[in-house]
Amino acid sequence: MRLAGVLFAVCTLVSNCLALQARDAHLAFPNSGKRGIMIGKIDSNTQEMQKPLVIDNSTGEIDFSFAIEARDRPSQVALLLGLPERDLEVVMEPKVTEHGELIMYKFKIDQSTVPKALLYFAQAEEQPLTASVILAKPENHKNNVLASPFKIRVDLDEAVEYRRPARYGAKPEIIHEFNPEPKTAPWKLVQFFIILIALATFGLVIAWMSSGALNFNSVPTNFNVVYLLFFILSIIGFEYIFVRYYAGTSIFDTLFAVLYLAIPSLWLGTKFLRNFGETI
Amino acid sequence: MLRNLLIGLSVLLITVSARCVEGSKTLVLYDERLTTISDYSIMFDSMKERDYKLDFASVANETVTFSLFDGDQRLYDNIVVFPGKGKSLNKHLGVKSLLKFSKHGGSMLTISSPDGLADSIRLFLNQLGIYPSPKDYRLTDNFQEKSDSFKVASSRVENKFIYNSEKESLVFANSSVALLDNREQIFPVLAAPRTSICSGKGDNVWAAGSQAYLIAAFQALNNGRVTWIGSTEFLKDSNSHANGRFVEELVKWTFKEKGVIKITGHDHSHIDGTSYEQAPYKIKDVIQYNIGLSQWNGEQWQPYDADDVQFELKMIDPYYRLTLSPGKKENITRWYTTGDFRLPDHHGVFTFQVDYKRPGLTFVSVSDVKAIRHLAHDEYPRSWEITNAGVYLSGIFAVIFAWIVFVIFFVSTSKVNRKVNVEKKNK
Repeated sequence: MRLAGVLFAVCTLVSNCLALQARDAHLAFPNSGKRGIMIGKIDSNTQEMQKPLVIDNSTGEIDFSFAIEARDRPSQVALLLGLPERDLEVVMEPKVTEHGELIMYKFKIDQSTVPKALLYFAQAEEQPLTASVILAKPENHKNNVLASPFKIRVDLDEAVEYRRPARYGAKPEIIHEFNPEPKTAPWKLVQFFIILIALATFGLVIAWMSSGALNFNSVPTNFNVVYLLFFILSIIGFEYIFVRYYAGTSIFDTLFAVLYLAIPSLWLGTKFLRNFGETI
Repeated sequence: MLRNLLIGLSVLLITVSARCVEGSKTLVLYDERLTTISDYSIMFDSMKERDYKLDFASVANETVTFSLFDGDQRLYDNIVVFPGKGKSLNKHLGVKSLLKFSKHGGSMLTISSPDGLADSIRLFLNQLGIYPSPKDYRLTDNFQEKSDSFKVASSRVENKFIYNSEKESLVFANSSVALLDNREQIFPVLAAPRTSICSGKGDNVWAAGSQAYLIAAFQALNNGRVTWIGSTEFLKDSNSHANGRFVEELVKWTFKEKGVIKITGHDHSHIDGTSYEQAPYKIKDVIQYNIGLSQWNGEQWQPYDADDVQFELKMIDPYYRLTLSPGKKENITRWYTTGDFRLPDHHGVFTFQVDYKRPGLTFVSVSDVKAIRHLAHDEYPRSWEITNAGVYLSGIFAVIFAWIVFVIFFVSTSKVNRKVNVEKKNK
């Protein structure tokens, strides 16, 4: 009786210490018509498949299944799918069916049920999703299995719509865009017209002079020359006040200046025109 | 007079010696049926050394009354809540009372375990977006030597303002976990190992992998902080060799001994230093904005260095969002500046704002509302500054010139012509 107890304890110990393993691991693509892939055995030493699987628009679902002997039944069987380096993984539970001494585990990796965040990062940043199998029993840490038998590359026709959750942090910079400055004529063209106007003005003066319209026979003599000078200066003065007003002098300053100039210019101008006007 | 002087002196002494920015009066609530306070002596001794005033109160006796407020005045700055065996913590400490405490800026360290978490604490945490696992649900990791007692590398701590060490192994045992809402105010601190599961009786799995968290923190907009820890064992003296430093830093963060910043000043002006009051801003003026920030290091304020302080100029939407450049460093202040930038070509009432919210730091915000006026009628460019006007101006001056010349010619020339005509008539 005692021997049986010891044997049972040893058997239990050996059973616990034996490394867990899954067999007949298989990948199937039920909706796409693609051929399935046999992986075989999964244990701690399982190497990752060289080429990642591809989820595209034609691959709706990937079925990943394996079998474990009933006597090795683990208490924890899960498939982690995601980006472990980002701590972003979804845990998938298997569908379990028992066939005699074998327990069948089947995971459905459905594109429509994989979280958007995973699909987004996998597609936008071209990082394949890592599938990791967990087979574990309590107090058996050395023989539990955490293996990554395959990766999945996401290659969908349309971009995955995913809005990252709001997080405190620096936001993208914004620089105000100013309205464009109003368009103006090129300076060269303006210069051309200015020269044209200047030439026309001098042409006019030269035309006056050359047509004999100019002689200085009527230049006033004696005291009238002072009145003439003042008459001309008052006209220049009024033009000067106008230019200053145009340049920004206030209307009130301008009116005062006009008033100050108007009084003497009216008086002296009238005097000049009355004395000299008869000769014009 | 002497009394006032003594009161002032004592307030000054408290202010100088206190390590917490906002006060160190702390209430420790525990259920003596679950928690033996002496098991946590290292943590509490460390707090006492840092000038915390600790009041211990057992909630085991329902008849004992507690109050967190005297009217609207908070009686405590901080609360530490250990798990309770009963459903309610105490009839005087309901979820409303805890929410009020948090709304008034109080900070809380709550610890739960699979053995108990009072409903008031659970509901309070749920309000914040922290959802601890149900009673009797434990986290196990079958890939560790003891599945219910496991180690987590300190490099997995997600918030470097709370704890920044790469080398340590943190020990957890008899731990519950929490799922977290997707809120900005929640700062995940430590995720569960990716191979772990949280299960209850009958192997019902409540959470698995790194979706669940062992420690999480929350900071309200009023800077009241709440930290939740899923294991009482984690804080015990027996684990202090592994967790001691982390626990100390976590307590410091929760009770605002660290991760606290403040704005020491801000200003904006024209680039020549002329203030807004002297010359109100108009569109397209070139101005600069400066802000000073300080950080509490547990003993004194010191300049706060960062490269992510941002300024916003807003009128409903931001017109500018500029990352500020570090400027001069003063005694306790680091100044940050936008440098010269041109105000928008839109007039209106704008907000000059720095709203600095970073996980793990107290939220600071300052804004100044100022009007930016449009151009006055005489501030637009004059016509001679516009190239098109050159043609018109030259035309005007040509006419003036020709008019003056014409007058001179007319006055000096006309007599001869008339004389000629008269002579012709006489002939």
